[in-house]
Amino acid sequence: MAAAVPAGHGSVHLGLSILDFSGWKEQIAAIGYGKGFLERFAAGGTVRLSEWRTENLSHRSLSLDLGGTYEVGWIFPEVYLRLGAVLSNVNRANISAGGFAAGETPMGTILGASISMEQEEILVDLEYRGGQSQLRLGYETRALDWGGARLRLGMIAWSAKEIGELDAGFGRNWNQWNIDYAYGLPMFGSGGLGGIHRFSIGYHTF
Amino acid sequence: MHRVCLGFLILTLLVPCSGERFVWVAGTASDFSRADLNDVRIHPDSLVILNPLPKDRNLALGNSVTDEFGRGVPLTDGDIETEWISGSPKVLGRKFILDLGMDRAICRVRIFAGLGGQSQPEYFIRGYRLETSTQINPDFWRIFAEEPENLKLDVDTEADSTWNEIDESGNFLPRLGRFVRLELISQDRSNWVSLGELEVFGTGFVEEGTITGGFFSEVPVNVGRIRWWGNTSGSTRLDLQFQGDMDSFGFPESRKGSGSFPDSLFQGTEPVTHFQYQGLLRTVDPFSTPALQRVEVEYDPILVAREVSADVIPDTVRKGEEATISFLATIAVEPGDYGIDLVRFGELCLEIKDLLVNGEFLQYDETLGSGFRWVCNPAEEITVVELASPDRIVESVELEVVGSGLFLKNRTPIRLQVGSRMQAERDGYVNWQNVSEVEVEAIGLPLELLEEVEVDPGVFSPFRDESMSFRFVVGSLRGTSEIVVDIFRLDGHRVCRLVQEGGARAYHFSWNGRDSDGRIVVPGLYLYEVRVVSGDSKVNRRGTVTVAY
Repeated sequence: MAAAVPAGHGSVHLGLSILDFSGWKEQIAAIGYGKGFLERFAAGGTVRLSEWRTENLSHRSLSLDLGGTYEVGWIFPEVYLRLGAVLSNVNRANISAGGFAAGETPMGTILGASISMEQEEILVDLEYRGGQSQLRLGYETRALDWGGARLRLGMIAWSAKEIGELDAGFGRNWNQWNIDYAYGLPMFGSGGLGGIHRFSIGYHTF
Repeated sequence: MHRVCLGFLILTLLVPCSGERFVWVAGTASDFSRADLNDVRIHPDSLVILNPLPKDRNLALGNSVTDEFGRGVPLTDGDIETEWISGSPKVLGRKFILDLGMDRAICRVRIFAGLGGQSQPEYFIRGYRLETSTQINPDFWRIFAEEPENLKLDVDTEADSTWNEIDESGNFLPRLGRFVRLELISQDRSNWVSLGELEVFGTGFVEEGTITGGFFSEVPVNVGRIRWWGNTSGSTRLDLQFQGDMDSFGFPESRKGSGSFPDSLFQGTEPVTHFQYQGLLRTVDPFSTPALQRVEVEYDPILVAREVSADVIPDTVRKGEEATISFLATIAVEPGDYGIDLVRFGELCLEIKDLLVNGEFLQYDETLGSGFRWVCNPAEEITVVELASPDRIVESVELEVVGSGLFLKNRTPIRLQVGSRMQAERDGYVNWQNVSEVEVEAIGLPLELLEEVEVDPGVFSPFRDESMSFRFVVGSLRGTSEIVVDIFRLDGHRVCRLVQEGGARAYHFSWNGRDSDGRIVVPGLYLYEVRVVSGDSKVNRRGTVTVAY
């Protein structure tokens, strides 16, 4: 669950994730703040408190993300470019209850770009974490006459050789509600469990 | 002194000294000439190769002929009374395809009129075309003989000189092909055509042959390691089988390629006084033959035990359930024998409960200071029991081994073998003496292809536990297959894959908590999938595992 609320000249975002299955309990609570600086820059950060518990063992850890965006602006008459960068898990949080080195989670560096057009949007992310790279590409269009629905296509590549996942989805807004569905098909090295269904519901108060 | 007969030749051998081994060898033309040769011959280089194809062997006999509509036509049954008659003069373009079963070097074709044609001489083929195509390219036809104006009742490409490829000396060049197509390319407006028999002759090598040889021994011997050398190519094959006194030919060893191959132990019942090998030479290329160069058989005139007879109680158990069985062996050991301190059960993984010698229990001792110890290899399905030196069997006894195992197949043959550490130290390997097989029948409903998966421990720590276990039974699997256990993160990314190859049995997979790069995974919930494929059936079971530390 997540929420974003305007605060000052920026916004506060809150998030909560809960998993409880087969004796493994996990909660992640996040709070972050982002604000615009100058005309084109914005920056922010998120603090995450993660906790897991199982049988006689439990552990809590804090992790910090820092990021920013730069509005490049209109590069063509109808094409808007925005760049972003995130340092994820800056403090390399260790999620091992015993403090073992193996529990140290790697820091991630994410560079992204979004290209917005009148009816379409293209997103590109490149993430480097723990010695592995991941490329994410996304495309969304509202051009189709599906009663206002939007169609999404996406791809995640683990490396230059493998496509990790292909995604397709659609979403629609009703007044202040928006609903999204996406189906992801893992490919090659990550395959075996079949597809992944993702649902989301959002509500805008303004 | 021990006397071993090599075919009709008697060799006198000395009692083996420490380190000395007895080896029987067949590797010269003289050795092979004493063997039974069936469609094989001895090349001057002391190689055993296939015989040349007899010129008068009809390669078409018994093979199928079909017309262009796929209907069978009786042209290769050796009888012109069963004939094909056209039923009308309109035969132009009729085709008949003969399948010789494998590529042949064809050098002659004969076509005989049927009985009806013999009595109606005008029922001859007015014009014919003969073509051939090969196994790898069955749709590409090449002409090898043609006669558009034939006047003979019976056709013979050799006599008619209609072969279209001839060398400088005027000899017909053989044409390679598996399929022969006869097409009628001319017709008479008022006469039918009768076909009775189609014959094809070739050159090159016969497709299969055998050599059977071996030795006799005046004293019973244990056969040990067997080695052999041969040459094969992609289209030839050389298989060797071995046989002892009471066995039928079996215990095959197959090899492809050239050169020598790793030693293999004789699997027939022992001891033997007559040992035989049989080489099977086969080819699918008429111009290629495999070659057998040499056979070496190690044997030991000193036996582990003079005689061992075994039985199992009960011989019928419930399928899929752990069952306790007793092996009862009557063992005769004489002075001069090695004696028994190793016992092996093949094709069964047993948990040994008790071991009795003449009714007296021996104690389990991991250090083998006294009593016995045992080990089971689930992957190879072999259980080995070792007796401590003070408890080595050196005289005639009654041995009872009680153990429990899982029986999944309708019938489980269990091969009992006995061995000696003294012999192993002397020769560098255990020359198991093979006792006759016993069989356990399992009754009950067929098991599922993949039974329930037990995961232990429930919460796994790589720093506390050595590994995490996945135990399950693969039930009704025919033959062998790949059994796969995959571990995934919650986002679907595979962390690790574990694979074993095997048949229907209990499986135990271990995961040490590391990913495919060898790094310990972070604490969390992971998914696993166990997958078994059997023919067209595929079964998987999924669950979760927890890693926490």
